[in-house]
Amino acid sequence: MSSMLQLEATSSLPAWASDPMLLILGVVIVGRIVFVRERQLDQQITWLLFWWLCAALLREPWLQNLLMDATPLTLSDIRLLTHAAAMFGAASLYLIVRAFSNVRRVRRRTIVGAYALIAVLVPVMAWISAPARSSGVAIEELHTWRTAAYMVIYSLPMPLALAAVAAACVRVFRHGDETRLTRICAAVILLTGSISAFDHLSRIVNGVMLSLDMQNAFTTWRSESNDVLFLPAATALAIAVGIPIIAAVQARRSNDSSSAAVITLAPMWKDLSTALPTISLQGTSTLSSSIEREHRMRIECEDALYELLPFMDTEARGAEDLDPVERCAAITDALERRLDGGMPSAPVPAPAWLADEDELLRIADAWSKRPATTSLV
Amino acid sequence: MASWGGRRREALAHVLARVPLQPPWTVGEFLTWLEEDTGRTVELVPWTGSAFEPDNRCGLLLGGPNRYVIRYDATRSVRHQRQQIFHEVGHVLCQHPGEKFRPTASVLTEGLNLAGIEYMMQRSTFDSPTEAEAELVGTQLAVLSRGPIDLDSEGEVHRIAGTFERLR
Repeated sequence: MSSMLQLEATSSLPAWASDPMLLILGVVIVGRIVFVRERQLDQQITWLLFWWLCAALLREPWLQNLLMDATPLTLSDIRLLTHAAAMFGAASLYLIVRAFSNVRRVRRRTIVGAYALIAVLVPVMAWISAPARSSGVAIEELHTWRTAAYMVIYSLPMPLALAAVAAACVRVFRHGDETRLTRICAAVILLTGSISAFDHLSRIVNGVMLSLDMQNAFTTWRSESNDVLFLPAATALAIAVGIPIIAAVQARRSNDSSSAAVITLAPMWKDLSTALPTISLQGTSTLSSSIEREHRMRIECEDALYELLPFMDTEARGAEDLDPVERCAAITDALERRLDGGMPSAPVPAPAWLADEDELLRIADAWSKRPATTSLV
Repeated sequence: MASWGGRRREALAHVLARVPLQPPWTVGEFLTWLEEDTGRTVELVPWTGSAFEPDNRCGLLLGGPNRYVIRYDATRSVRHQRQQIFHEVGHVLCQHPGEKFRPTASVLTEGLNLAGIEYMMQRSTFDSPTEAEAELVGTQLAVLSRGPIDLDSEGEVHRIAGTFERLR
């Protein structure tokens, strides 16, 4: 077995560095399988992490020794399996791009086709690398067309898929409405994707140079950089796509932002839907998801306030800068006027404050803090 | 009043399972699929000048053999606009029969081309099973909807953003 093969195929990261990263990848994969599995997009992201974890584990010396002791596999064969895992990751990435680019679910035959293509390429790579594997050297050491062909087949799919991901991340930045968290995650993906793309593209260059028997500082550096360019980038991506797991756990513990909004909205929603039952859909408070409960409460509160607009003082109705406490008083007055059979004014368009979601929360918050003596419906 | 029991949930799940789309979607993306699925054009037409008549505060579905027209109140919050539109989509997906409608010039049809319109559905309250069902389907769809209310909006960026947040 050549020293270059050892260098290329086996992780040189110390355990204190690689073990936490492998653990993070594993935990995120399990967390996503349990909590984030509904969309095809999410499923393929989990698959991507799985293939990358396989590739990372197959570079670990302890697993390599285990496999070589327990099976007829050589280190060259294990390196081929590592590359196969990375290529299956490229197929997942292609399917991720397909899933977010098009609103339609990705067809089953497309999914099967993407993985089948890799399943065909791996035996081709095995055939190309056969002389190197039988001699116990790295494919880079053959210095023939096989080196270039192998590296092109292995390294090309990932940068192509990453280019589409990078373009999508740029569109996230250009889209003004996304949250800061989304932008940060898009930046992480853009950064890790760039590192990964550089990793793969430089492998192609390295392969071509070595096939032409050119050896220099770049080819030496490239051969020693596999660990630094792969595992940290994969871990950073895993952390970014692990965020929905935290959100799901928070939701289960009623500790998410929607649950908080439901708690804020509930007193006003309850009063309004009791006074104006026609605006309410039976079962709103029993919806299983806090996001759905928040949505219904917002819709029903907006409907009730809209219903009360013709009973509000003209001044209070149109004023955009009214204090939430004053707004609550105006709503209570309108409600009493309506329940007392008062005559509504002419129908009016919805004022801007009614369509402002933050303002509705402020009003609901003020509603729940009204003095106990305030008359209710 | 509609029951929220298991049978109803099952029926709703069946309706929603027929939708071959990945959330989040935009109104435009969803209606484009609806056009393909039903073979009818779908037009979004906000209420115009007389929209503030008491009866015109919610969505309205006008239908015929070749087209649907969805009217909605564009002065309401974007969330509410989506709810109005997807409520009407709920009627279409649940295949609720509308009431016969002989189009005449009225507040309901102001600004509309009335060719091919044969029936309508308009919500007042949720005290009929069809309205409650459409509102529930509409809620499930609206919660998963993002972006502006137009027929050309693409949801790619929202689907990417959905990778980092909980959708429902």
